[in-house]
Amino acid sequence: MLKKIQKYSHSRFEEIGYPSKKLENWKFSSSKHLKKYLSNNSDDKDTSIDNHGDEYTLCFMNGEITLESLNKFIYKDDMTILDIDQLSDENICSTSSNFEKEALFHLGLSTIKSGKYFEFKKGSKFDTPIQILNFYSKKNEGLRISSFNIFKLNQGNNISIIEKDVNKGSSSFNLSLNKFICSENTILNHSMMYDDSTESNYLGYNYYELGRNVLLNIDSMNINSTFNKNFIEIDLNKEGSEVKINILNLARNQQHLDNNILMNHNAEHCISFQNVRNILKDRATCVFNGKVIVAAGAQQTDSNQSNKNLLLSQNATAHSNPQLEIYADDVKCGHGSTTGALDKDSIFYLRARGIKESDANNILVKAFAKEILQDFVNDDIRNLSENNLNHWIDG
Amino acid sequence: MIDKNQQIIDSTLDQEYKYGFTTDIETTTFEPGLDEGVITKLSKLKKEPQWLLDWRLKAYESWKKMEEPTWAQVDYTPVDYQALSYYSAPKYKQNDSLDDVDPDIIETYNKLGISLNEQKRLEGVAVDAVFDSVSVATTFKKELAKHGVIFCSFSEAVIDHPELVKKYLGSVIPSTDNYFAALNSAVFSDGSFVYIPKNVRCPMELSTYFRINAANTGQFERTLIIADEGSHVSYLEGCTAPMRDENQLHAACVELVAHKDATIKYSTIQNWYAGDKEGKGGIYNFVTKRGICTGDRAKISWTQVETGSAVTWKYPSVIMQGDHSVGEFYSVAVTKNKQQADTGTKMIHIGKNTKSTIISKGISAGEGQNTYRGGVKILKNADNARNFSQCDSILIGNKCGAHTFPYIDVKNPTAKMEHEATTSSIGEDQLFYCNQRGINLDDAVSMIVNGFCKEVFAELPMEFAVEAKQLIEVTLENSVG
Repeated sequence: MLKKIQKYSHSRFEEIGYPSKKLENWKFSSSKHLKKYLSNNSDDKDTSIDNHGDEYTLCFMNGEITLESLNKFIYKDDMTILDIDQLSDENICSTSSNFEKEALFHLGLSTIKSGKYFEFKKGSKFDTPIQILNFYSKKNEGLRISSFNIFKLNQGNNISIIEKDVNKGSSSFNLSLNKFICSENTILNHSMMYDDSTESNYLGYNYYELGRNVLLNIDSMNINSTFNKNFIEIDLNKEGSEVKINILNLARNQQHLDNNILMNHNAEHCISFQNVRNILKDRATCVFNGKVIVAAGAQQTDSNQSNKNLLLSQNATAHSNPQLEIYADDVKCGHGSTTGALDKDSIFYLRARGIKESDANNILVKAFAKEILQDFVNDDIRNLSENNLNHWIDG
Repeated sequence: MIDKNQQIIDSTLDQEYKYGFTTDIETTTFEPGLDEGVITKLSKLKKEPQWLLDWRLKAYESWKKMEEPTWAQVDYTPVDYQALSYYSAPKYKQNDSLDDVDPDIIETYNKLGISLNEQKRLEGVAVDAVFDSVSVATTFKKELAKHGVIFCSFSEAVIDHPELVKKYLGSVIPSTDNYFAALNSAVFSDGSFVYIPKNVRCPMELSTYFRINAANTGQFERTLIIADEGSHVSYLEGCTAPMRDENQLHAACVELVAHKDATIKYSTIQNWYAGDKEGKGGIYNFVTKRGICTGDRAKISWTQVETGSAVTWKYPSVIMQGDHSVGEFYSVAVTKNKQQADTGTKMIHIGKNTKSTIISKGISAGEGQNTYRGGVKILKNADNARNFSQCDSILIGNKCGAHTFPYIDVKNPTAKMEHEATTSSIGEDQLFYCNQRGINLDDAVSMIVNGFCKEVFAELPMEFAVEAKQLIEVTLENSVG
């Protein structure tokens, strides 16, 4: 089946080509520099990595799962793990109509070698978070590494997934596609940590399909990414679901960070919150493209978007497009966006109490960031993020 | 107050759109179609100088290469630009004396509540009446001339003040700016021209009243307002059209230039025919409006109340070039039945310490779709720029839609930008509160909506504010069931 999908995606990509700045989603991010990255070949794999994490870790090496990690994975009996190629139901692989329009989504899909389907068994317990380590190990320059995985949660599952990227070697273009299917009465906490020193480019397409009474938390922190563009699309298809997104981005130098969030409220009585903050130094740019669509009939929707950007240098740029499209009348929707520098009065307040200027600045930046971090669901991730934050501010 | 509101509602309820009549007069109308020949003919007819004809033809050349924009959140049957007539004018020529104006036209304006007779006018408002493609009368010209204020039709300005027109025409909206602006630049037939000299505070409100009468024509007017250093002007614009089954196109351009320390306040009450309940007919209102604050401490303020038109595509903008200049945008947009409005503003901060305020209120009822689309750009050198945007929407009924698309780009860290938006229905508790105190449903809705729009109405000149309030009440009558 994979062949069939890939053939279609390949023809779609050939048809559309690399996205131009004329497209709404790519208005502020150029795809030009991504063209030089060519599809990876399996020979170029670094086998020296022997750390496949602990028994709670699923380790992916350049987009493909490692057998070592799979063998010792503690939850493997509580899950069904299949190759996407083995799936018979095409609907499981289907994605949102918006990703369908994205050329690079098709590029990713058409060039994966294999993908995995993880189904969590009904009633199984997953008390410890599952860690997903994405190793990108590149001996050669100019590699494009694509991956596609599907996760399905069954009724009653309460699962935390922590996703971390580890880059080694040269810079690359990491194209990561994920689909999460959350059936009725499930809880999914998805944490994403990006920290990269190889100047790689990350492009993510994450699609979440929610059933009735689903609780979804997405926490993400992003530091040291040269180019990081993440598409998150969530379909709230049945009543009673709740989604919370907390994203903190820290950028310096010429880094470019971009969050595209699309929230489709297709059913009544759903709640969604988006909370995205960017802190920019040097010549960094950030983009927030958030959209909430409340379909006709999705009454009693409660939705809120908040985007706050802190510019710490003269040359930093923030683009913010919080959008609402509402076709139902009995709803509560709002959004807010602010951009600015640190408050001079607050700095003065601290300095008047004997705190030197640079410390005062740091205190305020930390306070701004912590308003996001304190909402992170996972304690470990919160602590790790705080460390990273301190490190970033001091460095 | 409630009784008075009820009377107003009752009296207007009988007619769905009270300005929907047509006037039967002799007109000179061009054959449908658009090419260089038509533009040349139009230019000759208006005795325009060669440079203006060249400018029009250049705009036409670039228009031919452009594509009609599709990004707006509106859906309409495409306009066949070759099936439109680009000029329609009453046979009577305009003259200084009102006696020369066709009495039928004067009667039309009387019916619309706009008296062209100076004595009958409320103290302090001068009117330029535009009927189809031409300006038919401009009142208080002599009075204004005493203060050095030039207020006349665009065609007259081209002949009497060519140096001013040549200098400023297209300086804010280049002829190649966008599809509709290019079309307007090629075929604009008339409009108003205002020049306020240095340090003059215009002694009265200026206004233009646009009326589309002829069938199968488009109205393409161009307004140019120049406020020289230290001057002040308040300008009002009103519009109506007859009820017709086919859609008619209105593609206007408005350019404002505010020099150092000048203030321009531009208010619009747009009440074009909106089509019937099934969405048949109505005006396509595709308008480009833009102002530039060229000097320090200049101020441009747009206020609009949009209740008419089948489709609205309109983004009055301000470019704040001078330091300490100010841009404001206050808008109330109402859509009902099958009306669609995609409207908003663009605030471009270039100078230091520039300040902009955006207050936009959208009300959707029936199957109306209301979109706020606004851009705030704070450029690199705009130190201490300040923007505040607030866009609120109310939804009445479960088939309508309200959408908000703000685009915010900040390139200066000392800038402060805030944007907030809310969308909600009229709360049941609010209605209950009113009902409980003996206020019936319609009155309660009208009270709540008027309260919702109050911030914008407060910016309108007094006469317009009353009209706007009544207009909203009538528009929303029976929309809560």
